[in-house]
Amino acid sequence: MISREQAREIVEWVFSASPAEEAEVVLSSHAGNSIRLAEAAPSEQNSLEEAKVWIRLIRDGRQGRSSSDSFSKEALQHSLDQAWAAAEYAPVMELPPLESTSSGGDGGLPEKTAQALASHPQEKKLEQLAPYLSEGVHEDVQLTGFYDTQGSSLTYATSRGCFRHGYVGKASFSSTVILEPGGAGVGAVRRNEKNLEDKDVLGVGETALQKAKASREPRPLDPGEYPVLLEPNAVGNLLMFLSWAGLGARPFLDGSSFLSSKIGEKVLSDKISIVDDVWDPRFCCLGFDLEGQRTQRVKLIEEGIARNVVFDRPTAKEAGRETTGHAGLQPSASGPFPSALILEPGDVEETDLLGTLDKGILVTQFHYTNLMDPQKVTVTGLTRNGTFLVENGKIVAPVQNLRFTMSLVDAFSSVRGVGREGRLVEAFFGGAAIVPSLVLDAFRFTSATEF
Amino acid sequence: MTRSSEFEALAQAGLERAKALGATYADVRVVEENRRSLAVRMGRVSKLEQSQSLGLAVRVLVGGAWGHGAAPDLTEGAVLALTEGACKSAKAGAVYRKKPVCLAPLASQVGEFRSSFEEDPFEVSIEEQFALLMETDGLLRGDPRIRVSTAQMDFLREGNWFFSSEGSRLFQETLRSGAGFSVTAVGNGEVQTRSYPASFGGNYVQKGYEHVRSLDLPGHAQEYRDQAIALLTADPCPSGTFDLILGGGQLALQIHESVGHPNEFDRVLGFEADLAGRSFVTPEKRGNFRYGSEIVNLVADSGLDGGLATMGWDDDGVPAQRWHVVEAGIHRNYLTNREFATRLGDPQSFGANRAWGWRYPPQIRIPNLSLMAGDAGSLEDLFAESENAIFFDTVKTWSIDQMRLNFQFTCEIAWEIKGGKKARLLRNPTYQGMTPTFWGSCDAICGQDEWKLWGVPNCGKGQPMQIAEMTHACSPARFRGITLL
Repeated sequence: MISREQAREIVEWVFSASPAEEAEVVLSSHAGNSIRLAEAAPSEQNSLEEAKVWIRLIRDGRQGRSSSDSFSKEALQHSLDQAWAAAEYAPVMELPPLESTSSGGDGGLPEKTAQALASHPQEKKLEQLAPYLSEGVHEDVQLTGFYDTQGSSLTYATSRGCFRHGYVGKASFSSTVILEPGGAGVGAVRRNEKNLEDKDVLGVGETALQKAKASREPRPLDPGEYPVLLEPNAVGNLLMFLSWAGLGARPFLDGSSFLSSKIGEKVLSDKISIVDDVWDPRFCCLGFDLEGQRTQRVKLIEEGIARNVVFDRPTAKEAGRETTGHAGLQPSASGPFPSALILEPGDVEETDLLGTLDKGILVTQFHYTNLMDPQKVTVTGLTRNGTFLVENGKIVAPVQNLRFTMSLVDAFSSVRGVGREGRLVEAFFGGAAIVPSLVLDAFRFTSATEF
Repeated sequence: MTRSSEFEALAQAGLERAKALGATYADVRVVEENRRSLAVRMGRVSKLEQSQSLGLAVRVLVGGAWGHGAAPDLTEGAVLALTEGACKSAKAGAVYRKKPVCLAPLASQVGEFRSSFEEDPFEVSIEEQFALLMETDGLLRGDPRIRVSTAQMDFLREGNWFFSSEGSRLFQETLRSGAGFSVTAVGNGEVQTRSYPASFGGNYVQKGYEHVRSLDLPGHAQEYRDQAIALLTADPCPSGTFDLILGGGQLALQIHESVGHPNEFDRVLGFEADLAGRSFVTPEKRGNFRYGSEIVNLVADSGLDGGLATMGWDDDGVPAQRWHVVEAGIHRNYLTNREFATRLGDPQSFGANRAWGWRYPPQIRIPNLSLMAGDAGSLEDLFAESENAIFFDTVKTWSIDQMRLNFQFTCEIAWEIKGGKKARLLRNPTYQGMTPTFWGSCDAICGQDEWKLWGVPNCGKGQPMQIAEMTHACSPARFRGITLL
């Protein structure tokens, strides 16, 4: 990873060599190690270092961008030449001026913490995993997983004087356990933290094993509408789709968001409040966006009422609003998206949530969820890694996995209970959120699997 | 010193160090990528980027366990450091392996492969390329119900140098091109999108700019814009049991999700369980499992002309091959690499080992995998002999369970087939099924004249996730008694 001083040196060289009136430089450097597990052993290990520079040049109202995997002067000069050539032929367009100030903190982690995550030794990971891997020596246990540590730096700078630089990093461990024969019991847990202690790793493993044991020999269950208790991983998966489909300014302005023209109206259950807050210490996010703006805490849904979406400068201008500091690389076709979603916790103890179900289904995770209709946020997907029938507040049996198809606007309008504890979860296709467990009155399962 | 000999000298240093550190096998890959991506959205430039990437990866096998390291640093010091790190972690990991990695035998390979093209897209001016996109985008707009129009093109040239401790020395250069547009209409409580010639930004092939010219983007813009608008007020697709005719782009995704992924043999053995899941195609099914009807022939072909996964050798250095995954409806073979061929008891790998650029270790990836043409003639011929069927076209949404059995797909558009012809337009068409039952219901496949290549540019697999590209060629086909939602 490059330091703040190295980053400043690189961007100053680019600006001095640039032929353009204005230039923007984004630098990213990343390092990490990962171990994949299968058959209770490392199946793949990788150590990766990478760097990337994006240069955007403004030339007579035209812009060109280029990128390279190297910070060498030769590579930077080549990128400058390519961006300059691209700008020559690009269509003229009205561009927002590049940022000239760097007000507000940069957020993220101390450099030392990110460096430690980036260089976390594989041998140390294997030592942490050893007691857990010993659980997988039995023939009927298929123990799999992924343990990853990484650190990154990001720099945003403009020739007008903006310079921002920060560090992020994470350690994550997930494990899926399959117990055979006698019907596969499958359990999986993911944990995503700034660092993982031995107890964290073993805790994930123990929970995955317990889920797998409890999931053995699942019984078929007819599809239909059921009340559900969704554990945080399942809630996070749905929340991401709500966000991608509707909480960014682009779909909001295009009219395809469930919030389009509904700011100030009740759109979800009054038990649902959603904010985006990169400054929450449970996340590990930078405090600036890729227009050099400070990223703000944004109330998106407050007690079920639509309050706002997130903006970058182009969409803010289009809407007559101020940016919320959520820009990606510019120009951007998809526009800004929330990056640190929090579904506010409720007042029900996690252990009491099950008791609210007379008859229903407990869902550990969802699998391969996808969006069918953006305006109603209709999605389909399947349950995975532990699905249980609940009767009279107690788990009575594991059930075979089910496919659901339903509007998330409807789902999040039928909230019976919200757990008190928020947990950091990652979505299948990327992104992170802090969410509690939820009990929903009605969830529509439309077909069944055979396992 | 040529680049190849410069890279070979670097690789040799790494391979020798790996051997000294106890590696029983090692390879070094150098990958260079040059990319150009252009896009416009609603009359404005939304993407204009040219990128370069050059990096090196070392893979070692020590004590029966893999180690791998990668960096964008082509110096001897970096190669040696990556090699030492990979050997160290492999050795530490080997302690836990009860089943050491055993590679299928392979004679050393030496050679070059270059994909063919007529017109280099990097030699066509950006000005000309933007003019085409702007013209297309302009034709897509002009109606207040059109809220989003996009047109894009993307070109990738990849150079790949491979050196192994077994004496293989390979160089491959491929060029792929893709382009397309999409248009979204909003109104009547609906959001409806049409994409040409396919979803995911268009259609991609291993060819040059001649592919983009052949698509005639402006020539199709108004038809697709009008379809998006018409879908806002079209009747909803009925639910129930119907005969289904799938257009090529949708059928390609069906092949991908329900035949490609479940036949990755690492996945079959549970090596992907923690992310993407496992497979219903368990090893005892090989050679006897009825995967589809007798007319279903699914062939993997790493030499398919224009295929996105077409190559001379895979990232194990195994030569390109062609093999049946399903033959006359019966499951025949899996997709393998050198590591998993031996787990299957096969004498050699089918050569499906590929990595995403230089950063990550190779893994079994879906190659070009195609449904062979049938004898049902043209699409119009198939309509003519279909009553009360529904024709689905263009991917919108896809989802399949982690064993690759229960799938549900939504298309952008559908038409009722009445009197042997396309009739009523239908919106939000969704079908759902179970993989073997679905392929077993296939009773007609159009002929060779309808057989087209459909590129998949966004296949994800692995932890960390790697993206791979491949092609599924097919002709439209009919499936009897399918559940529509």
